[in-house]
Amino acid sequence: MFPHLKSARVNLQLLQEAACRQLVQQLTLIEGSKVIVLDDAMIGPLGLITKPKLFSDRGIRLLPLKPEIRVPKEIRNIIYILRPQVSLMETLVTQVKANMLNGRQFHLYFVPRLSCLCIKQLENKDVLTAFGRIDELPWNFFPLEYDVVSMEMPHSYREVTIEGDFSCLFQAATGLVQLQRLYGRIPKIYGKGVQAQLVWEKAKQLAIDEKTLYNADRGAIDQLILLDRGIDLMSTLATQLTYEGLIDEFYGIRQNQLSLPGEHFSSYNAADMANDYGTGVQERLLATSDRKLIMLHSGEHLYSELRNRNFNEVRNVLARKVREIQLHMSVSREDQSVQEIKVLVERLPQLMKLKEATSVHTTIAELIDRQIKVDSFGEDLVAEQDYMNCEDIDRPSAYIDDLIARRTDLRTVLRLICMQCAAGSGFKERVLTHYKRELVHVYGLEVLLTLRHLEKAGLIRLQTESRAYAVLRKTLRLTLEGNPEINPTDISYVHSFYAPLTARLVEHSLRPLGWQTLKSQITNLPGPTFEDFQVQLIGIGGRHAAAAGSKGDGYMLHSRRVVLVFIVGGITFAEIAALRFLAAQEDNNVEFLIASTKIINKHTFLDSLMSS
Amino acid sequence: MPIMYNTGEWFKVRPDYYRKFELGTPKWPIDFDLEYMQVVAAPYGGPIAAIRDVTKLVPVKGSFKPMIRIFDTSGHELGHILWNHGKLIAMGWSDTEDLICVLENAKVFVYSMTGTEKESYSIGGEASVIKIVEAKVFQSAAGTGVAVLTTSGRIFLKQNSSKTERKLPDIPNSSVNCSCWEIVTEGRNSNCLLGREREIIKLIHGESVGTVTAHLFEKPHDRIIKISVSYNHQHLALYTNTGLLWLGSVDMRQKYCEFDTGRRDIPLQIEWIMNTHNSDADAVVISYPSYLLIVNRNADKSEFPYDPIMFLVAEMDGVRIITQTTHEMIQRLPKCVENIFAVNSQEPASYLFEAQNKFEEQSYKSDEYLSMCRADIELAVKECIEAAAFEFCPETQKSLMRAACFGKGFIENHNPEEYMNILRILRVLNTLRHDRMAMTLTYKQFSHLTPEIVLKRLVFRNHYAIAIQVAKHLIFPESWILEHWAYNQIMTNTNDVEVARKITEKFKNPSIEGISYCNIAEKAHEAGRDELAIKLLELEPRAEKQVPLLLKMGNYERAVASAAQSGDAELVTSVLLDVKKKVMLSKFHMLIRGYPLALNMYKRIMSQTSRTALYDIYNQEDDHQSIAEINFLTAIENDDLESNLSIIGNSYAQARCTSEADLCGDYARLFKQQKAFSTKHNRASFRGLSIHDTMLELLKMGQIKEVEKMKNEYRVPDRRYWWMRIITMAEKQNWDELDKFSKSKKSPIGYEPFVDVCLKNNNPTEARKYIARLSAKRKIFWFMRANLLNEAIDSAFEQRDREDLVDIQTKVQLTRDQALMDKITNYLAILDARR
Repeated sequence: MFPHLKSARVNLQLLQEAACRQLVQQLTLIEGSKVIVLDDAMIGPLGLITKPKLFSDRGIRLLPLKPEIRVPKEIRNIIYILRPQVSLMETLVTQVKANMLNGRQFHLYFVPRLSCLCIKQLENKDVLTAFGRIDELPWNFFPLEYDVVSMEMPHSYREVTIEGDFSCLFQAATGLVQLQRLYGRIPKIYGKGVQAQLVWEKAKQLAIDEKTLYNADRGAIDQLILLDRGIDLMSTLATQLTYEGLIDEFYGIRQNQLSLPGEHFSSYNAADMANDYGTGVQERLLATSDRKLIMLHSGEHLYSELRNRNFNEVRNVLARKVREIQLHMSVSREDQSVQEIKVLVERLPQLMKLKEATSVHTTIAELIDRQIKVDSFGEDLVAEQDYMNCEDIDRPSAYIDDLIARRTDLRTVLRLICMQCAAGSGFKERVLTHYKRELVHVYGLEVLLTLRHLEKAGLIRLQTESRAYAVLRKTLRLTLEGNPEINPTDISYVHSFYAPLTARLVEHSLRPLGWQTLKSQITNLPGPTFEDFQVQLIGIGGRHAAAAGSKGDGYMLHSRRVVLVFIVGGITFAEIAALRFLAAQEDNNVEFLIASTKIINKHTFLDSLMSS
Repeated sequence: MPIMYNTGEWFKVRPDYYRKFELGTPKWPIDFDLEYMQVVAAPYGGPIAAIRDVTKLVPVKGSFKPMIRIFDTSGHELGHILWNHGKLIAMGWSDTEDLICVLENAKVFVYSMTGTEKESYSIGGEASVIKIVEAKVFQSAAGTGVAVLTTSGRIFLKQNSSKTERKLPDIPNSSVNCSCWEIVTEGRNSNCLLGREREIIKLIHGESVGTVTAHLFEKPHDRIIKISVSYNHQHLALYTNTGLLWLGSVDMRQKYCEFDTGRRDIPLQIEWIMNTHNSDADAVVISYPSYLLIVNRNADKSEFPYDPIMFLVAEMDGVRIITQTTHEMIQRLPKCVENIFAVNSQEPASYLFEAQNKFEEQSYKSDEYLSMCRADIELAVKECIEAAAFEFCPETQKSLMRAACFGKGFIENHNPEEYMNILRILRVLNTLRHDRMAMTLTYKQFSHLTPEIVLKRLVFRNHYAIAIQVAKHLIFPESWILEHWAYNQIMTNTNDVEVARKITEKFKNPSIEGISYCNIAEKAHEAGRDELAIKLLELEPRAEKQVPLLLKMGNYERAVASAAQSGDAELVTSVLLDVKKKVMLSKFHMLIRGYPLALNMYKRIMSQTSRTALYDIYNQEDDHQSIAEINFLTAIENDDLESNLSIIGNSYAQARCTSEADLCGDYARLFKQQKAFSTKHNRASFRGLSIHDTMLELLKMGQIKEVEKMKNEYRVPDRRYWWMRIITMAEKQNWDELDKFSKSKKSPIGYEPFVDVCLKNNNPTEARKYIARLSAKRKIFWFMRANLLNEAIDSAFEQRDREDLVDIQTKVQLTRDQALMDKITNYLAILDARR
């Protein structure tokens, strides 16, 4: 159903199909005409596992969860698919009350887990009896790409650090067990960080019952690297300089979809685009006529070629493509033989597609180019790069002070403060007090609450003795001068010269004895370093299984290792690009499956933490 | 073929062979004499219940109280029931091996086979009012039922305690003279066959009257005195007072034969002998006092004199005979057994068997025999395996299996599945037939019961060790057996510590999957042993299973602890909701404070629902910073920061957040000043403005004095103050003042901001003034930004900065200013030349 998820080793189509099956199974249990009502946070994720055809084939309409929605009288069943959030219940209650009819049934599915709080809320409002089925759809991981799965939980880092709600960690653990059920036991596990360790411990605990998992041969995944977002906050705050990263930061990519004002696209035509890019579920619910929705995933060749490159390289690639197209299109001269024309005609559809894609991406690139030419973008970038290089991190930064004095947007200021803090692995007390004072004096007393959130999240803190970042910058070569942005030789190209710590850790662990050497180097990062092995249980049939296993090992020598990298708390496109870069290096002989709670960028991450 | 093995047990009822062989020797207690007993035995080698037969004269031994005694087939007493309920009419075994006793007053008591009462109910309806004369316990598709015949001649059926009784139609004409009756199950219905005089009356449920069938017999007789229905309810046997036997189908449309036994004594029991190879029956066995008669459809017979009294038990593949000294079985000889052991058998299996024997004797004849069955070796092997399954004697089984093993060596691509399977099952069967287990099952019965049921029966008889071995051997889950064993321990052993120790010892074996301590703990709780339940719960690794029971037991502390330990926030939430309802709030707070996850989840729930509850919990924890924040949030929501500020500040101070407390102080002062300003300048409120914004506002109004006062009061850094000044001046287009200000003293922020504000307010001319004061390098940058390209080119050239020149060049290209282009090209050429 989703060809871009297909891959040889860990085929994520399986995951998508399994999730889809669960939904279909539930739908067939409910008899009669039905509509499905989705909350905003579910619309995108649902599109990742189903196609609208699934619903249209069954005559099911999809509606967003809004209080004013009225469902036509002839519909017998109203099915809600919601995130388990108490705040949604109020809307749900009003909607249920307004749509109550004789002989009509309501059904409620929580993703990924039933919530007793929500149910209690419904009980309090006397609508619980209106529901026929109340169940859960245990979708923890949503496949985004052939090598990326996301839990689509944008606020997980906030929930854990600020609110002390560990549900998402538990869900992550459940998700890991589900992945193993589909793809087999993961024999080796490395990890770093408190949250990461919690996730792993729960996953192990949950897997106690999964004896079959342990009795079976090793699965498709050879190794798991579990990292905590908390060990590398710098990378989340840094401006991403890859094509995909920049698109996300400026315009936001939601579940592989980009929505841009239609005016930028010359030949904009809604119907036309719907055919070309395949419509997702959300388009029907969210699409407004003056916006163009663009699907961004590896299903489109040009994008998969562009996405992970440094933006400076994108221009060149696009220019080359344009030349290529021109070359092919302009050869239609009179002196061509019939055969040559035939070949050209056969290639035409393909060329037209490429032309279309090139035009779309040229437009996007142009939009981004305009954005990064703005003065403040460059100035901020210079400032943040200074921090990355640990320059001037021990006193209040004049640049930040100036920004505050000019009353620049609070988020921009806080981002730079947090970056300075991350670079210094904390502030001296004097510096912190200064910033607090200045921020409160300029932006008002309410900033105190925002600051407290950032403190709880570990983004702003006092210095402790170890200067982890400064040390690791040297030992792990986090900043690297002289790495070209075009045809780079190191992952640091994703931030021009800074390599995300997470990706660097993964890179080091790939080397022989990598994790063992790494262990001693990263003791100054917060949280425990851990490793674990899940060996096959020897029991009945052990002999047979062992024989099969040895055969498997021989096979393993020749093929690539598959490493599941799971960053708890969110991952940036730049990090994904860095990991893909590592996978593309022949020497590493590795394939990654990248998992995270959500794909984040500097804006979404900070916004999530700052909101009250 | 030589005569050997058990052919002596065989007898012929033309044209078929039957065999009667011993299953074991029951060792009845000394005071137990079958002679004077009324006995019912359960099929599948099940238990036997006996009570003194009141119709017989008995030498008095021991107590007078009637007693039902329950034995297994080898004579071990499993239990007894002291009977004090009234007149017992009938007994019978249910398909779940429960003893059903029917009383005269239509009451039914159900006992387990160890003699403990499980339930009692009444047949109900008319039957309870009128006494009942006779009762039958019968098997049907829906399980075991009870049928009673009342004194008024009506028959009622009741399936079990929860179903209502059903009445069968009345007996036509008169109910007197009915001599015998039997329940027949046809499809889903249970009907009744009644014998009255020379006719059979069939009462079909749902019909208003019974149907009468007469003239079944050709020979003269007075009345039918016995009816017997086969095990599968397909065949019917009738017996008259004149000793005539009628065999036919149960619908009486087909008559197999009529047979004159020539006896005048009343038979005790008539049972059909079910075939071993299919579910049909060809012969009946009739027991008389001290005489046993076997008659088949072809009216051929075979007879055995018997000394003591005997009881027949119909099985699905034969009939068992229980006497004081023996336990035997009559069975139609399986074809495969006959093929192998029959005298002069020409069957391949027989040759194979012989070949193997000769092979063991190291005789050359082995090859001869083998060559005689080589063509049909597969059939031979199959029959040997099959025959072994039918045998009861382990020696015979072994030799047959050896023959099969020998034979399968000569088959290419032989699938040993069946061979292995039978070997495995035979081991189990032999174990079950042992005296201690006393479950004399045939292979057919075993397959029909399924291993699960057999295991259950073993467990119910407390043969745990054997059950586990059997389960292992047959590769069946064994955890439930252990669980059952644990229940048994809980019920019988009163020492908590010992029980817990025993259970853990057994359960920690890692090879056992899916064991649940929780189920056992729940049983312990039900048995009122909470201490033990908790001990067991501690061993349960899965919190989501522990928690519900802990809550049920009212052990909230542990429930919270265990939920928190699981890390499952959802579970924690459900526990919190539950516990909060049940305990006092103060106690609840104390309860959760030791568990961070629980505390956090509670805070989170409360932050969404009740801020006062949240306040309470922070207060208890002395978390003043959080208290400050709650107050803060409430104040913001009520838009009343001013009056709450002192409380917030105090809380911050208590939490030792000095800078936060100071800042609150700053704002408290600011609010006062803002009020003063509003009145003084007669201006709408300054409300809601920050210190910075207030100062900006004042600057816009030109109140520089007051701003400077505030600057000192709030210790505003010079940099910010300068920014503030120049931004307002530029915004107000006060270019002269800006110029003056720039010269008032050395700028702490340099002069670039001056350029910046000029440019922001679209005044490049003013900007040029300040660019002049910049360092040479920065000049180029700002000239470019101010779009003063000519100047930029000049300064770049002065600096001999080729790179910047190139940068400017790209920018100039966009403007298409040819003069400037030339200039740059020129300069670049000069710079290049100088190199």
